[in-house]
Amino acid sequence: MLEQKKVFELISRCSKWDGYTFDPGSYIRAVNILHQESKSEVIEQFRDYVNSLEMSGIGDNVFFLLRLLFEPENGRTFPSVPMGKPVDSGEANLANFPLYPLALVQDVPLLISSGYILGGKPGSPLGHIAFCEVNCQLRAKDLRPPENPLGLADELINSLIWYQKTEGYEGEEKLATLRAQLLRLIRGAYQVQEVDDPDFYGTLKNKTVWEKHLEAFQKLKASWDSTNNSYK
Amino acid sequence: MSVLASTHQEQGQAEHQINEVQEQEAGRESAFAGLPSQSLALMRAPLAGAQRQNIVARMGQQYGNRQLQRILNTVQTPMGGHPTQIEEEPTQPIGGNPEQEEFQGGTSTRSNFLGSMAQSYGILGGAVQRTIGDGHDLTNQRFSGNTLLEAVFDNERVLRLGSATDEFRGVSSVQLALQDLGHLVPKFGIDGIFGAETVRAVKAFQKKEGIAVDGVVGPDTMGHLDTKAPNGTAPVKPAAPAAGGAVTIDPVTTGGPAFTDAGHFHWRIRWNHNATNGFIVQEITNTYNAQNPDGSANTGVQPTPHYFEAWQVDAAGAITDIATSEGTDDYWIRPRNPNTRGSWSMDANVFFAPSLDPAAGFGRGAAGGAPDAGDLFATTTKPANLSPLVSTRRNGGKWNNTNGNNTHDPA
Repeated sequence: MLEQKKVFELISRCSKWDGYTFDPGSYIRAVNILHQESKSEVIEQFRDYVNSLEMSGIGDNVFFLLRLLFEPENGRTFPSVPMGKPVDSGEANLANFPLYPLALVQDVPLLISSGYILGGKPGSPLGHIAFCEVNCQLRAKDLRPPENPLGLADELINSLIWYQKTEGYEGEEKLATLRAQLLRLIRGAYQVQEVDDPDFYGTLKNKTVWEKHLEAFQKLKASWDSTNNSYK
Repeated sequence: MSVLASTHQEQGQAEHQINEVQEQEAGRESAFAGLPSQSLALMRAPLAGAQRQNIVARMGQQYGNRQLQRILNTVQTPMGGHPTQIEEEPTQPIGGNPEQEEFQGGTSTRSNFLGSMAQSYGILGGAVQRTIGDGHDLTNQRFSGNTLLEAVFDNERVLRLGSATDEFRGVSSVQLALQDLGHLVPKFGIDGIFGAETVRAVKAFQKKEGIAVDGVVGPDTMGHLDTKAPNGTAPVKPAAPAAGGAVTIDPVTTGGPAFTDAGHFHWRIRWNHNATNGFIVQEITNTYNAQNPDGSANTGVQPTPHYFEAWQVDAAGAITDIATSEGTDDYWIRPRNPNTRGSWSMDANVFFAPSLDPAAGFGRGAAGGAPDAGDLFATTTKPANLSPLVSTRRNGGKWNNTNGNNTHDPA
């Protein structure tokens, strides 16, 4: 089993519930390392992690990682994340998004709700851990993103399963935030300055700017490196 | 290379993590400038045992016994294999040591070196060794009794870039305090890891406090956090009311209220109350009106307009139905909503109820119709068995994050 410090770091470095800074790569790395371990030990490490944190109630990244790392059995679905009311949830068809507020698109986790509203008390991830222990198995295979993932945001938002209007100002904002998440995913091969700035996504609403990123990445002929869980 | 760094490489961790570890290592190495490289290994070795004896033996062969003795004196440890009596030995005064010239080969003087080592590895003389309950203890309830943070305050440990597993809870407590004081850790949040982001937050706090800015939480910084972080004293719980007496339920701030940018807001409280055998019920009324830069309505953030949420209290007055380990009972968050402007408000009326009114349809999360309440029992239907109003509170304001603005004006 991996040493505890390593596991804690993998969990801690998973992005928080903030669509403007979310990095899918942080989850892919954690999932691809942890799913190879034994279920009982992973469960125990998660419990230790949650119990070790002062703010045990604020465990958004723990909820998210559990939803990606485990697969419910016998037709069950994950309970909702008890952190508050997700932003952009007005017209959500959750049947299309069993991992909501995440969407797993060709093995790339995207955060499709940019944040949450709270006026109460967030639930502890311990409940989610218990659900996984009883009703789930660790996912069997690595998450393996496609060779060029940059088109995934546009594909998702224009697909039949997307639940929101894709036109107008808010549609442009949503698309840009998802594009920025994808640029963070490919940083191993293609680095964009300021990509971690929460306001960076705004530049990606410009069609010309986005096409330049697409072209530049295409020229690199980058590929997914399953050994290091990043693009190279 | 450290185990941590090599592990990062093996597992393909993000580049920034490797950088953080390298920064951490660089910080530690700088404390040894001018000293033989084995000094670092010596300090890391257990205070007794074969590993330490081997290091000492090799250093003796390489530098001679006289120089070795000076090194050992410097690191304030006894000769290899000698029983550890560090806390009983006289403490070498920090600074003003006549042997300082022996160690002038880098940027660190011996006094700096001693101070850094003492802080980094918890090696201090008995003169400053303290314990909890000695009169030099943390008084802020959020820190008090945390053995790690008490040790930091007593100059027996420090928190700095990089952190051991057993420091997660202490680091997360410090991160939370820094955030409550307005020094945010936005990317990684309260994660228990003392990374570069936390260093920046610590430095910002130190600068504001006018103390040494080094990004390390030692006794001075810990003392300032203890004084300045919200909730400096534990509220006294009012006595339980006599039959027919008044129930008191008052919010005590544990974090915030704070406005950051793009309409973000957070405020944490816990209940100071004398309620027993029933429920604290809070009625929330929300308004939230956001506009896009072109003036059209922004519909992404839609709090539930009106709901009731409940905390169960037992015969002793303890809240029983939800974890409160972090000392917070109620947490208000309005999310970032970039490139918008608008206004919002939250109004709360607090009541007591002897039970959850079945007709009101309380449920958790979406089942109660108010996912805003998180994991609390909630409903959008007014319960019929509420006491007279016990207390109220509110917050709100206007924000503008459009066209280059980034303002938030409390209402």
